[in-house]
Amino acid sequence: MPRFVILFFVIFVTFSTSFGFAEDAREIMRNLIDRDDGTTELTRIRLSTCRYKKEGKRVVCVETPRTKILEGVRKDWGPRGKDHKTITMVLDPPGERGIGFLQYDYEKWGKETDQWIYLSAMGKVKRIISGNENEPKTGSFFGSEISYEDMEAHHLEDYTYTILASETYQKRPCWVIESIPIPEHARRSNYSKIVDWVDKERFLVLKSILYNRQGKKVKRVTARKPELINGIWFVRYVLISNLITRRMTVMIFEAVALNIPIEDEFLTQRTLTDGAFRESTLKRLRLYLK
Amino acid sequence: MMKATGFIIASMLILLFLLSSGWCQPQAPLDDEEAEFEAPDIVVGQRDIPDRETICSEVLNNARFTISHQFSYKTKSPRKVVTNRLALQMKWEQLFGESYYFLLDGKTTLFTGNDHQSEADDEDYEIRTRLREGYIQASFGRLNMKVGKQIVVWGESEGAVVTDVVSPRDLSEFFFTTLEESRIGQTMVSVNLFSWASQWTLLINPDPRTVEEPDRRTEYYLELWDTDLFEVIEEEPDETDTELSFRWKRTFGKSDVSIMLAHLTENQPVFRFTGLTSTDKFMLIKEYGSLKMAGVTANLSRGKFLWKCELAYKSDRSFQSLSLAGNIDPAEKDTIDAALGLEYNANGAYFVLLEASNQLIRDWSDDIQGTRRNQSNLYGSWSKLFIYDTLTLGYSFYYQIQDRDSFHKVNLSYGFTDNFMGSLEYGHLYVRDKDSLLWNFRDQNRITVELEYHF
Repeated sequence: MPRFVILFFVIFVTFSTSFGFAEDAREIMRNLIDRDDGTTELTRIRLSTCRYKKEGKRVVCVETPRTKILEGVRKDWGPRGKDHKTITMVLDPPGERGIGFLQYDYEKWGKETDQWIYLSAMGKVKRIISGNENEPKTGSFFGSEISYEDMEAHHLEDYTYTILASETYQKRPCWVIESIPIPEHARRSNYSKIVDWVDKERFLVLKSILYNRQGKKVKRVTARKPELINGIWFVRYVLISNLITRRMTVMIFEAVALNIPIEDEFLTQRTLTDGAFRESTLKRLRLYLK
Repeated sequence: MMKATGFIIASMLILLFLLSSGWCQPQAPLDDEEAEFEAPDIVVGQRDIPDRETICSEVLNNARFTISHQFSYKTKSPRKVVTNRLALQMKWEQLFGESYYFLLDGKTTLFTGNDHQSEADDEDYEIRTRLREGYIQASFGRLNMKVGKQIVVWGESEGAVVTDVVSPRDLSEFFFTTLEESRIGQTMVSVNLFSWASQWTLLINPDPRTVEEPDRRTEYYLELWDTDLFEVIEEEPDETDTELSFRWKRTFGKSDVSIMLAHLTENQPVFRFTGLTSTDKFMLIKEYGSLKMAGVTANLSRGKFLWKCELAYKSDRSFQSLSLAGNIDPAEKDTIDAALGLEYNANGAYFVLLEASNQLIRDWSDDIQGTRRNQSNLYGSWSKLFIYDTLTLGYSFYYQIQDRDSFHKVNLSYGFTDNFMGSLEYGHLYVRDKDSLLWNFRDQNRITVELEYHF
């Protein structure tokens, strides 16, 4: 069973950051990973995927997009606050509504993620497995262009970093930083290289290019509409385009709340099965959404 | 000539290799398709979560409906349509106030004239409505209580019934339905207490239900007793025999462990001879015994693998006994049920499940009918997703080791849109031995097409 729970480390984390002076590429990336992204989070996400074509200056779908609407709750924990517990529920489409996922991710390298799924038709919480951490994962998140690897924790030690250039992107001055996986990580990664455009003044990653194992460009990830929410930069709009299959996924954070009071108990299996507890807690938390 | 051709082919191969390896290409800019996504004006499908401002819209927002049509055809002689039915399912979940949650899950089915359910009653069509679940739940602090019709699913196994004994099943469609679809809700009270990593559950069921067998004359009905010789009188489960069940469940790192204790009504009936009727037929009472169960389940995840096991000791189980002297009576025996399973995730490429299970009847007697001292089964499944998770191909099998009977199912399902799904399934039964419990069903292979629209 694939991983379903949302941890946007490659995509989201690298797009949402605030940090101070960066001395070199590795230091920039360290600050990206260790940035303050809030200790708790509630989001409602629209995920639309389709084959695309360019129409003038617009990129348009050439088929009816497949759309999911998800509601996710995250809370950080662990000794450094870098372990994550997340609950994700499917709100739409109606046929998948009621599916819930609970996931515990650990900062410690090599410690496997714990995952459970709840299908209302199945009527029980079931532990699921995500596969071997030492091999590249296949499959994608709800059939989108986001792979399970894209959602995994990004460890600083897994890559070597180089500043390739300084250039302007989206009218912002950027560092262009290349990340090459070390041999141990390259064995389990679908990517041979990642190039990020990092805004020098706002310290946001505005674009990433991901290269496949054959060294060809496979994905372009671009960020739009960054917002300062409770002092934390948060990107509302992420476009992931697959340059080989010509499919794209637009991930829109329709509603966001950061650093809100979430009880530890909400990030347990109880939330998957106890409808009264889940819905009453969410009703209270949704009041914080922006 | 041959040499020239060989030279040309070799040159082309070298050229192709050089081109594919990037040789003689100009130094590419860091992102040469930059312009393509300069304009953020990207058009995607818009579907808003409906407005929740009014009570009416909130109620509608919390309801979802499924319209489905199922058609199946028996592929072995006598070939015939088995099912041809249209169904509307509604599931409604609503939070009232801060602590009360209501769930209603029901389904109305229209069986057309050539569906085996209508045919059995000689009707042009039949309409049946079933409430799968309907309960109100209250949650206060670490405690919750649920009252009403509910389905309880226990255990780890997907192919064997070891500890998953609380909710009975509807067997009217034999193997040709999903486990989830076949579960029957019961009116009961359940109380859950949650601590940090543990869950304590108490179930009180004053109105136990039992397995629903195929109706007389339907496709999968089996006449156990010759009606010319026997008259069967059905006895409902004793209403004073309230079912009580308890479960403790806890997560330990990579493992989930459960311990269960239960006092339950048997889901399967047994028959007792009580004498002769006024028409000189043998009179049999169809009754349901009670059983006690102590069980434990556990799973353990390791990389690509998830190990699962279940063990249960059941006492005072009721089995059908038929002695050489002609006595027809229930026989009470203890059983030891066990299952061991392994799930494998090929890093998202495909998924495999294998399970082995066994039921051992203690103090075995040759008078016992319809089962064996050791009843061993294998269950397996494989599934793979294609076309961006819109197409699923699955295969599952069930193998009864002693009788060497097996049932195989191949399923293909496709999501035409986010709301519209279709599936095609073929089920094949192999029965080799005339003494097999499934001999009467040996021709029941069928192909099923189902369309579903969710809204």
